[in-house]
Amino acid sequence: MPETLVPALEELEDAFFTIVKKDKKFKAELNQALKDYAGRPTPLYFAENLSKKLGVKIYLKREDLLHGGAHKSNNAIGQGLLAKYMGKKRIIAETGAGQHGFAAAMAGAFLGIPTEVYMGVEDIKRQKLNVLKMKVCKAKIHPVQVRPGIGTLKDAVNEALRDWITNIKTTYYSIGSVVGPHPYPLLVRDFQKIIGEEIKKQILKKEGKLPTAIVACLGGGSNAIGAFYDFIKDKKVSLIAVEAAGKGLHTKKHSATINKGSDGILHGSLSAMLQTRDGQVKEVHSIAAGLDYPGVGPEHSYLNKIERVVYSTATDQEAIEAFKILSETEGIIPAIESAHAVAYIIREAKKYKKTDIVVINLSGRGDKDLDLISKIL
Amino acid sequence: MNNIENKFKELALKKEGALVIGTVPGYPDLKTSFDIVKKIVASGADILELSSSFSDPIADGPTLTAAHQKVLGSGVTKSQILDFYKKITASFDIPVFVIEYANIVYKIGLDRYFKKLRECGIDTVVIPDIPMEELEPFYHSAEKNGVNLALLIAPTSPDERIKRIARKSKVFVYCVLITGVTGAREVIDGATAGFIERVRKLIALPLVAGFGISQPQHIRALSKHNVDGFIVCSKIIDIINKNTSSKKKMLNELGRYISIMKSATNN
Repeated sequence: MPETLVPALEELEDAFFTIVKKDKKFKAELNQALKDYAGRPTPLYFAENLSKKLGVKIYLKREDLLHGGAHKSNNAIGQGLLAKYMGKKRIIAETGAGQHGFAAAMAGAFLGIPTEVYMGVEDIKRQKLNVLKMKVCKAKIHPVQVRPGIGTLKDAVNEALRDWITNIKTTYYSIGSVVGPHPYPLLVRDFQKIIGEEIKKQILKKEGKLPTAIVACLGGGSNAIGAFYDFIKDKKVSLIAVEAAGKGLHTKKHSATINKGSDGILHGSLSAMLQTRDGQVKEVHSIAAGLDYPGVGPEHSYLNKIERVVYSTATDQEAIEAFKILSETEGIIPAIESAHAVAYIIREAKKYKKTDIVVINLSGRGDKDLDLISKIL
Repeated sequence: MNNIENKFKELALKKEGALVIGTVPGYPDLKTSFDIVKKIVASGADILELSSSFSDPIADGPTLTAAHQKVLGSGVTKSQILDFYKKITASFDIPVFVIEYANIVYKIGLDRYFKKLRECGIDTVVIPDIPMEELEPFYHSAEKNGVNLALLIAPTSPDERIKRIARKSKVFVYCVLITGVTGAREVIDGATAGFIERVRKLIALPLVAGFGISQPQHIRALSKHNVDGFIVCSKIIDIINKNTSSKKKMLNELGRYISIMKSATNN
């Protein structure tokens, strides 16, 4: 990170430890907002039809039912409230699929803080519904392109960082995933870990035991770390993150950072990334705008190295198929990002016993993808 | 003492500031880029800055970002750029430093990168995205391989931090003038003067100012506060961009601009 940002990161780190970790009033206010405004706890739903079809007990953690339509609300409300406590007058955010952008816009409206969102031109095109939702909530959208027609999530992060460097005193940068410089990966994980904490309580109540596996899709990694975090110490629970294999791992068109990347420094953290031999960050691909990121949260890089989490992949085609299957069998339309997690279990179901319990973190809902899907189906 | 330090010493005796002219190696193409450097040297620049391309240069504004993108898009490789450095240092008698983003150094390998740079005749580097906290491995590897790391300070850096940075910095301290990214600006304001006054008291090394400088009056204003060097880079790229249709005109314009800027350093 450039020197200019260091004092702001120190201020944020201080706020993380004194406000997020310790301030009782902040915690109470956040819990209230998550409950009454966002709709927590989200249900843990036994997907009976899908379970019958696949021959394994499948539960869906319904983050798609959160107000905002995805797990991103947990973090955007948390960071928005933190911005308010820190006395910041303006929130900026980056977005890929528009889920974090909309969550930030919604939190900005709710908290009365003007919000501006950076979004790649390619993503603006493929996620029209979320762009409209942000606009309706009065967020200003800054289209980002690095070359004519080229611009996705990493470019949006770059522009948001440049804005922050320029407006450091007044502005809070609400980052959408467990990426970026310290303390963001910790901060965002703390706002998302409620997903796993709820899963644990709910599954113990329903099944009287912990699940066999928890599956989540992985872009930057916030929904995955949120679902996994409370289970990391429960060694018997296998944790599976599903990266986007795009058009296939043998092609250049994927964003399977952990599976195909190497260590590098991107957006202020040292983690796995997709890069050339010369250290240039690669342009990546996924049908899912929210997974289309060449980096990954550093904690995932670590969990991969210690082999606590299995990092698998699903292709665009498998995700589309999973999107269809979940919609048809359960009447639940998943975000194309979350469909990658569903795709994994559809492909791997035969490796599980009938009595095994698999929890899929259904991180977002798929309304935003209907336009895209209608063109394919 | 390296040739940048010698240059500062020599200029100080003449009571002159150093004009540091920056460009992006390989921009708009390798051949033209060499001719641009030739012109920069011939027009009186004291020190050359080479802003090496990175896909995600977060400290840079639109001008340099687009130039980096163009170089990478044209397929120029790092080894071609290193050959370019070698050619520059062999052809011209001007002190040179390189701006390199951290990931490039990291991916190539710290020792390997600094060694290669040395082999190209370059011994001073600025890494714009490595703060003090993460400096150590870079610092040691650079030192081991005979490369100097010049560090940056910004208007947001508190006094104590500036002192710590100055203690570690080699050859000069790169003083980022504004809270923002690189790019030519119209006005350099009073807050900047206040910042320079503040750091001048804390730093004994040559103080080189950058980010926003594009006009002779900027240099004259900064000279009043004992700034030792003035970095101009985005404006150079702007001039290149305005004259893509005629290389002759481009080089003439660059020459004229650099001489005007240089005359402002003679206070």
